[in-house]
Amino acid sequence: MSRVLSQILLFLIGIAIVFMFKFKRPKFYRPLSWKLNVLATGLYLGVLIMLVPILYMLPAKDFIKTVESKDQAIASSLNLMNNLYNQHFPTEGDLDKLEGVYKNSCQTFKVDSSKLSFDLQPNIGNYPILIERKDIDDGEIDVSTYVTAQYVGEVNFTKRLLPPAITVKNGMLSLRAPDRQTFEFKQFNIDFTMAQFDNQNSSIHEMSPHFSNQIIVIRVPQSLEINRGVLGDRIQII
Amino acid sequence: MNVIQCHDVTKSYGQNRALDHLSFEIGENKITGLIGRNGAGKTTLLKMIAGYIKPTQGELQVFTRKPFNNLDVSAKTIFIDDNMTFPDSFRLTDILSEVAPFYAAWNSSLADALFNYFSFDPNQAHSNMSKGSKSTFNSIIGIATRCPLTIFDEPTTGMDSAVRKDFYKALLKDYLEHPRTILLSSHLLSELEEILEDILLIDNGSKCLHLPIMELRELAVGIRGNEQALLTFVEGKELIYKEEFAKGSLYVVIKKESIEQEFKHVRQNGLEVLPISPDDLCVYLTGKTGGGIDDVFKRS
Amino acid sequence: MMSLKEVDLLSISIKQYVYKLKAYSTLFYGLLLAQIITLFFSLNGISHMSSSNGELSVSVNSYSASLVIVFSFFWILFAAIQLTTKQYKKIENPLVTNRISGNLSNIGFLMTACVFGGITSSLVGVLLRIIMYFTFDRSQIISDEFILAFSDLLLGISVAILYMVLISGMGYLTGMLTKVSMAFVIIIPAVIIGISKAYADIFQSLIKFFTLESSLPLFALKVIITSILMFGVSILLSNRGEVSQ
Repeated sequence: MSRVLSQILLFLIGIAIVFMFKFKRPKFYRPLSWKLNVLATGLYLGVLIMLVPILYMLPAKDFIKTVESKDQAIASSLNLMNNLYNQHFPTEGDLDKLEGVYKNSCQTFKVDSSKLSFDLQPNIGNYPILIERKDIDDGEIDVSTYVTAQYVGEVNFTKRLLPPAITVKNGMLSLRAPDRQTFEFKQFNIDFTMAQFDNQNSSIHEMSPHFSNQIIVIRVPQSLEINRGVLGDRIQII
Repeated sequence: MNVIQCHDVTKSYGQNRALDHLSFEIGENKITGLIGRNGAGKTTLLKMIAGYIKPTQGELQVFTRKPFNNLDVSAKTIFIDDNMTFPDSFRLTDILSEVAPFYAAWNSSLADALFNYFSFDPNQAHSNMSKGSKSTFNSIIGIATRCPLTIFDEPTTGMDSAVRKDFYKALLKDYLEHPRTILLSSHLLSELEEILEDILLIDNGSKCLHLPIMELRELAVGIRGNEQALLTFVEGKELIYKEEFAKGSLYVVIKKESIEQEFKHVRQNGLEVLPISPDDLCVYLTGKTGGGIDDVFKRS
Repeated sequence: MMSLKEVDLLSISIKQYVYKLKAYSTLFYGLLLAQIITLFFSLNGISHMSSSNGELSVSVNSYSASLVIVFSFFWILFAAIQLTTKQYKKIENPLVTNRISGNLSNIGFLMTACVFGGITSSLVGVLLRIIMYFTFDRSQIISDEFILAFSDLLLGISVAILYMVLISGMGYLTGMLTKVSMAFVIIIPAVIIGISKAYADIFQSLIKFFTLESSLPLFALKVIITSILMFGVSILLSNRGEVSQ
């Protein structure tokens, strides 16, 4: 709403500027001498030109860089999710190698009980949980979380996603989704005068988001008993 | 060689004829006064000479060229009137320095001296000046350009009498040092008389007379006296003007040449011969009715 | 008789051009004001997109300095129209002038205004980036087009100048047509609206003729030829007859 209002306001101001110079000036008006006018316009131009080297001197390291391989990463992550749906489960080793899948967190817990049961929030995202049995009984539970590629437009910000909070206590692994995360981006579009000759038909970019999926891989000691509990259909044991 | 040659020129605006088959010539380095009543076509004629407008019919040549849209004529002509417009971003001093490069003969020391003499505020805007100051300022430009053809259309509008006198003096002095063709229009001949050489009187778009001012002074006389005696005396002669100035008394204006022989009869008949000023004569020559404004009051 | 020293049209036109550059210098404040105001509006972003799934929401604000350029185009359009008005024509009267020198000096002024407008409107984009750099969270800024290649800046400037030349030609011709007959004040918008409604494809291809040209030399050629035609017709129109005083 405010955007519409500001656009209307802008239009009105534009009209006002255009017509300002149509009307006669009041009688008491003392002329701005042309020398002052030339000075003012020259100064304006001069300041703007001075800004060009300043812009190029500013360090650009903080900005978000965009990546080229977006399509490939998204295809690969979609493929992974498809495989999961079709009960083709990858091992942790497989996930590490996949493009478009990123390790989000990695934690190790001591086994404090002979059983492992799960405390999952019913309302959080549909994370697939893969349980892999280790070959040995080392008394440690390794929990890794993976996310598939998260894009908005060309921007990959997967690495900014927070992992879910995972704790193991008294044989109970609890998984809490992080607080709702908000990401803001500032996208700059080049002037249409440049875009026309810049091999881009439109200067407005498609900035539709592609949301990621999370996968949780839990590696448990060989002999640990797994109790899937009520929401057990999310948990797959490989 | 004539600077202005005007042959059978007509300018009409729709049905209205501002100039009607006007022919005259103006020689080089003469100061000519263009005299006429309001709406006689003075401004139209001057604008045409300056090249602002085109004649509808006839041939007008200024410096042997048609002045309309002609750069050469424009370079040799300056037209001064109170509609001259200067940019708002120019102060008065700016105007003088910015107009200067256009005119080859521009004398900036003269312009500055006149500017100081009339004590203008250098930082003032042209559009904010009073009518009189504007006229004075424009006249400074007219004098300082020293154009071979300098045209003033009603240059003294709004000036007070001291400034008028100064203007005419300045114009005349500069003219004597740097002779050029000057055209001045006015409906007030009396103040111009001193500096004019020639006079061009137009009425309703047509030429009334064009002659040296000296001849105009000698052209006619006024005769005043008893109505009966005067009427018998002037019978059969062409009267320029006739006025009943009191009961039984009459005043007439008549060409001098028509009464040259009978000059002595005038006194005998108890009539009084009065000289007539060129100013009055022009008014009588272009008068619409014989009796003048007094007629209006007599009827009522 | 004093000799008729010929005056040179070109030198008179140049003198008039210098005179007008100073005379019309006030017009540039309109451009400055338009650019500064649109700059502040551009700081709000031109479009906003946000979406979310259950756990995260993403919003993208788009910024562009294009609006500044668009308003500079408006300015040159109205400046060009204004130069043809009686009020502006009258300042030629005290000068040595004819119609052609008057038009040439006007065109010279407009070209200067186009160059100034093209450079400044494109450079305001630089100012916008610098303001964003210092006032926004830099980690939110997508580097892609925020980092402006110098060659792109030069490209933008030259294209903006060319568009302004084209638009000034349109404005000047429009102004001249209305001088020929006030009927054009009604006819021109009527024709534009009429064509855009009835012959939408012709109208669109006319616009596309310029906006979809992706080769800079061809674009420049199109703009220059069209502008020469428009200014040429304007000169012919004004040279025909007398202007009512």
